[in-house]
Amino acid sequence: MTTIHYREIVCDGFNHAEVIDEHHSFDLKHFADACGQSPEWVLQLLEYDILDTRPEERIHQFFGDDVSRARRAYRLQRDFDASLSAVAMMLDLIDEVQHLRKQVRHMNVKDF
Amino acid sequence: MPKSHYEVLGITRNATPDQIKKAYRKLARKYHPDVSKEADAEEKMQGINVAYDTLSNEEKKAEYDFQLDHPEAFHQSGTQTGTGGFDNAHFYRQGFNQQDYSEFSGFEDLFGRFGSGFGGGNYQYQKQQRQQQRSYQGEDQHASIEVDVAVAYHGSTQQITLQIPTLNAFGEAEVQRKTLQVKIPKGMKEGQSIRLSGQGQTGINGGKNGDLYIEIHYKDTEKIRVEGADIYYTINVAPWEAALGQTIETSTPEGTKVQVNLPKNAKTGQQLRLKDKGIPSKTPGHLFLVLNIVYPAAQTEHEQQAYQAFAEAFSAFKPRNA
Repeated sequence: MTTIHYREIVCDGFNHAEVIDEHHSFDLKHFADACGQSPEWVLQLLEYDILDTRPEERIHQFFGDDVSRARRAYRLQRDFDASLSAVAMMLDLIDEVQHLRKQVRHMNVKDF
Repeated sequence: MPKSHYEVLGITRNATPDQIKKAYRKLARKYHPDVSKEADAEEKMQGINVAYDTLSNEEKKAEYDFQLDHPEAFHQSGTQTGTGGFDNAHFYRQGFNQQDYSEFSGFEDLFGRFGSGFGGGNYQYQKQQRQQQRSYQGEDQHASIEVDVAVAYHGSTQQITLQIPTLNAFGEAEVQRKTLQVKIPKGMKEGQSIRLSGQGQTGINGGKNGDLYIEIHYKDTEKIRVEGADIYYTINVAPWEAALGQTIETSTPEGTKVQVNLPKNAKTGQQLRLKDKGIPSKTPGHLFLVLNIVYPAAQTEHEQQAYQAFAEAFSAFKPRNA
């Protein structure tokens, strides 16, 4: 029988937040760690064009903006048992749908 | 009273593994937070994931069924028994308290499929479990937060409370409920992340703690839409302001006022770009004022006469033929 314990932790003071932006780069290992996945899995994202390959870069270099996309890919793969080629298409369609939804919402302007 | 895992998936206790999987897939398509339009999709999906994780595993399912049949044996404070024994309504409630602005949209997958927590699908964690004797760095954790667009200009301090599944020093499953004060810096683009070093999962056997990544999203409203570092801000203008190309004063999402010269015969939907007045990131975004022409209602006789004069002045204008 598994027993799960609860522990309350309150961290005093402010926590330093480091901005992970397009200027923040990771090597393969650290990027894989940030995604909670293996480096092999990350390399597959490149193979399936889920992450942009940057041919001008000889070494694998990943940027802050890629983390979010890789995490979404992971969730879709996990929750739908989807192949990476399906995940690639889902991500493109989701991006487009979200963009359109934003536009539609913004177009439904009421008097204010 | 919280729903049972069977109720969450909409199945009976004698459902076959195929039926469980089918029910899960159907709900995942509806509530997956990356796809769904439902407001509470994230919370629902977390519950669905836990239910599926429990019921799709023979051992966990048997344990859960036993708990359902013997509820009196599992009322303990501070400790919950069995992965299926959680009160989902509490366990999955978005654990974020906001000091200002917004509600936390919650963790994307701290509890997703229960995987990253207790021996599920996560790579790093599986490795850790296989090799308990060595020290391992705790897993990085990911969350997302939705804040008002004003935070982009001024930054904000948020108090967040999160629940992190981990293993304690004795190798026992533990849920840490952690409260943090986080300063969100100004200039964050839509979808950008901040990293809180060492605030992820606790390291094992003296290993380093993982980091916590928080993705920042801005609340869209009818007036405001954020794309990357650009902000689209709808402003109302009067027909004569638009037709004559007048100078108008308007507020901005930053909270300041600006004067803008409208182009003559401006139309609804037309966008005016205020360069570098969007989110003040390293490469500043632009602020796009999206014009929305509004017409006053003619209520008094004087106002009706004004519209009549307007109609006569534009007698050649045939809107249905335009």
